[in-house]
Amino acid sequence: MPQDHIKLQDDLKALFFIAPFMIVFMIFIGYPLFYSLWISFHRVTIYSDFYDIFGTMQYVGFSNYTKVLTDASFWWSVALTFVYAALTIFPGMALSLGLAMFLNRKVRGFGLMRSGFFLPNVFDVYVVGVIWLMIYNPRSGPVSALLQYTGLSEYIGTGMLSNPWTTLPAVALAMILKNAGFGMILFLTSLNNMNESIFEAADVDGATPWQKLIHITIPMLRPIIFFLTITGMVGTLNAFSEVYAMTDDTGGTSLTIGGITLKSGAISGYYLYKAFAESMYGEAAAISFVLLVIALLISFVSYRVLEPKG
Amino acid sequence: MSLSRFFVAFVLLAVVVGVTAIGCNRRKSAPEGVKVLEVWQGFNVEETAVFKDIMKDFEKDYAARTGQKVEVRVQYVSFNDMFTKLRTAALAKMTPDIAFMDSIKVTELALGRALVPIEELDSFKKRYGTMEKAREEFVGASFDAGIVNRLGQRHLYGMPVQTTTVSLFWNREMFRRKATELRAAGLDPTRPPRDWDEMLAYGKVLTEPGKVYAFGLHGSMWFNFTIFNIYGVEFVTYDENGVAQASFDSPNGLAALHRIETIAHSGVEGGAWVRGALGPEAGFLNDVYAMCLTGPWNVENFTNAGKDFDIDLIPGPSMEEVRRLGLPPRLPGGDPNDPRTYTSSNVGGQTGVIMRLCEERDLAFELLDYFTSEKVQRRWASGLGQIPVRKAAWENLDTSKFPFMPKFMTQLATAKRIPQIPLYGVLENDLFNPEVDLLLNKGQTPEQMTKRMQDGMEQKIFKRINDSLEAARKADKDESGS
Repeated sequence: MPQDHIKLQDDLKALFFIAPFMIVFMIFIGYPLFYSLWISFHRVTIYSDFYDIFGTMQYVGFSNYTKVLTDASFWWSVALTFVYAALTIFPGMALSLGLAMFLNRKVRGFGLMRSGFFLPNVFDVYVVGVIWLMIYNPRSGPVSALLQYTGLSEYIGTGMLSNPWTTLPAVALAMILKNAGFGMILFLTSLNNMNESIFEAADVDGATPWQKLIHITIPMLRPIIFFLTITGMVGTLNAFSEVYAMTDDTGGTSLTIGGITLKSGAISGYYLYKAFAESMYGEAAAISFVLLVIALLISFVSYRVLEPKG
Repeated sequence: MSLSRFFVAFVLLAVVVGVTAIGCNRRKSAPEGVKVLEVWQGFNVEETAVFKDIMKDFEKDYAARTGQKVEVRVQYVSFNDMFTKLRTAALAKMTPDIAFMDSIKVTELALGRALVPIEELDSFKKRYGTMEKAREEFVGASFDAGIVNRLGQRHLYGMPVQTTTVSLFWNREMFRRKATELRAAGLDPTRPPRDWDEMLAYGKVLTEPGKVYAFGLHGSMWFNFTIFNIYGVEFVTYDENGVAQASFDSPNGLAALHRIETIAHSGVEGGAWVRGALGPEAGFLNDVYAMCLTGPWNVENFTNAGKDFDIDLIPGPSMEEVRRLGLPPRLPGGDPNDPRTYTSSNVGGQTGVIMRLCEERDLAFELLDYFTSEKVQRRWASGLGQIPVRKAAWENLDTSKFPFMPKFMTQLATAKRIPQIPLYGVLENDLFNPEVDLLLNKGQTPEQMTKRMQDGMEQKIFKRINDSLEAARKADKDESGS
C-alpha cells in the first residue's frame, strides 16, 4: 500500500475520532462565538420585533464598540474589576497558602479542618452572598457590632455594603473566605509533593523559616500561583453573582467622580449582565469581546511574569 | 472507547437531537371542534386555584352562549420571570395566547410588536365601542397601564386584571403611647398626619433617636412614585410622531425631590432607605417605625403579628405647595381645603395581554372581558381580598373578610399610572436608585438630581426610542405590505 494512502487513512481515522468533540465544540462554542461576534456589530432597538429580535437587528458597524469604549461607566467597571482582583487574588492566595502550610501536618483533627475550610467553596456564590448580606447587616450583623465596638462604625456610618468606599472590600472579603479552601487544597497537594531533602539541605545551610519560604517554597509553588492568578483574573472579569446578591441587584451605593454618577460595586461582569438583562444584545456582545481582549492581555502579561521556569 | 460504544453514544445523541427538534416543532393540538386558548399566569397558589375555577366557568359560559367549545389551558409562570419567559418564548414563536403580566412591562412588549392592539378587535368594538368608553368602566390608573403610545398612535395593549396600591399604615399603639405629648404639641393622637409637614410635626414627638422613628422611607423608585404622583411629576411626554421627551426637570419634579430629601433628613425617618438597613415593613413590624407606606399584601403579616394598626390616605402636599404648583384635587368628593384631597399613590398589578401569534384574538378578548366582568371581579375580591379592577364591582362589595379593602380602594381612586417608559429597569436601577442614593446621602442637591435624571432619561432611554422611530415605521409598513 502506498505511503500516502496509509497516511490519508490515518488522517481520516483521526478525524473520525475527533469528530464527535469537534461537532459538539462547533455547536456549543464555535458557532455561538462567531454568532456573538456578528451580533456585536448589530443593535436591538426598542422597536425590534420580539418574535424576530435577531432578524430585525440593525447593522451599526463598530458603533457598539465605540459606545462601550467611550462609556465612563465601562472603564469605571474595568477599574473596579482590577481593584477587586487586587483585593481578592493575592490576599486570597496568601490566606490559602497560610492555611495550607498550617494544615500540612499530621495532627489529629486537621483532616476535618481541611474539609471545613474547603466546604464554603462548594456553596453557590449567590447563597454565600446572601449569608454575608446578613453578616454585614448594619443593625443586626456581627460585623456591624464589631465595628461599633472598635469605633470604626463612625467612619463607615451606613454599614459596610452601603458605604461606597467599603462596598467592594466587603464583597472581596466574603469571596476570599469562600474561595480560600480551593487554593488551600492546591497548595497542600503541591506542598506534599515537595522533596524534603531540599529543605533538609537548607537547614544544613542555616536557612531561616522565612528564607525557606521565600527562596524554596514559593518558587516551587510558582505553577500553582500562576494557575490561581490566571483563573482569578478570568474569574474577576466574569464575577457577577456576588455583587448581584450583596448589593441587592443595585451595583452598590453610588458616588460621583467628575460629575458622573457611578456605582461602587459595578464590576465588569455586573456591567455586562445589566446590558444583557436590558435586551441590549449588541452592546452586551461588544462588551464581552472587549473583556475577552482584556483577559487575553492580562493572561499574556501574567504568563510572562510568572512563566514556570524549567 | 470501542467503536461499538462510540456508535451507541452517537445514536443516543441523534435521538436526543431528534426529540428536541420534534419538541421545538410542537404545535398546539386541539380536539376536533374545540378552540384552545393557552394562558400564562403568575398568581400565587391560592389565587391560581380560584383562577382555574374561573377559567372552567368561562368555558361553560362561552359554550352556553355560542354553542362552541373552548378549552383554556392554564400554565403557571413565576410573576417575576414572566417577561423573560415571554421574551424567550417569542424567539421560538412559542408564546401563549394570553399572558397575565406585570403592568410595568407592557410598554416594552407593545413597542416590540409582541402584543395585539385590543381596541382594534371587533369583539372589543362591539362590547365597548372605544377605548375611552371602556376606560370609564375600570379603575383609571390600572386601565391606563395597558395604553401605549407606539409611533405616535395610542393603542390599548392590555386589560387590567389585577390591581393594587400603597397607603399609609400607622401603628395606633405607638401613637397612644405618646398621646399626651402629641396633644401638648397640638396634634391629634387618634389619627395620622394629613400632609407631609404635619408628618414632620408628628415625627418630632414620636421619634426617640436610636430607638423609635416616626416613619420608614422606601428607597426604591416604585414606592417613591407615591411622592412623585402627589406632586404631579410627569416623567415623559410623547408628541404626535411618537417622539419621547423627558419632562422630569420641572418645578413639580424639584418639589417632589425636596420633599423626599426633607423626609429623609428631618431626623424623624429611621434610615429605612439605606441598603441592608431595617426596611420600612420590617421596622413597622418591630415597632421601630410608627408609620410606613405599603400595600394590602402586608395586612395579613401585620395582623398575624398582633399589631394594632390602621390604614389611612397617604399625606398630601401642604396647601402652600398645592397653590404654588397648581396641584389638582385627586380624591373624588374631597374637601378642597383638606390636603388629603391632593393625595395620590402609585398603582401596581397585572395586565392581561393578547400575544401577536394568538389565532383566536376575539376569543382571547372575550376571556379577558369575562375575567374582568363585574360578577367575576366580585368573586375575585370577596374570596381573595383583591381590589376589583371594574368599578361596578366596587358597589356594595362584600369586604367583611377584608375590612381594610375599602381604604385601599379610596386610595386607589387617587392613583396615577406608572409612566409609559420602556426599559423600566434602566430607569429604576441605572438612573433613579443611584441618584436618590446620592441625594439622601447628601452627595447632591435636589436641583442637581433633577438635571441628572432629565439628562439620564434622555440619553439612556429616550434616545433609544427616538433614534429608531423611522426604521420602526418602515418595518411596520413593510410588514403590513407583505
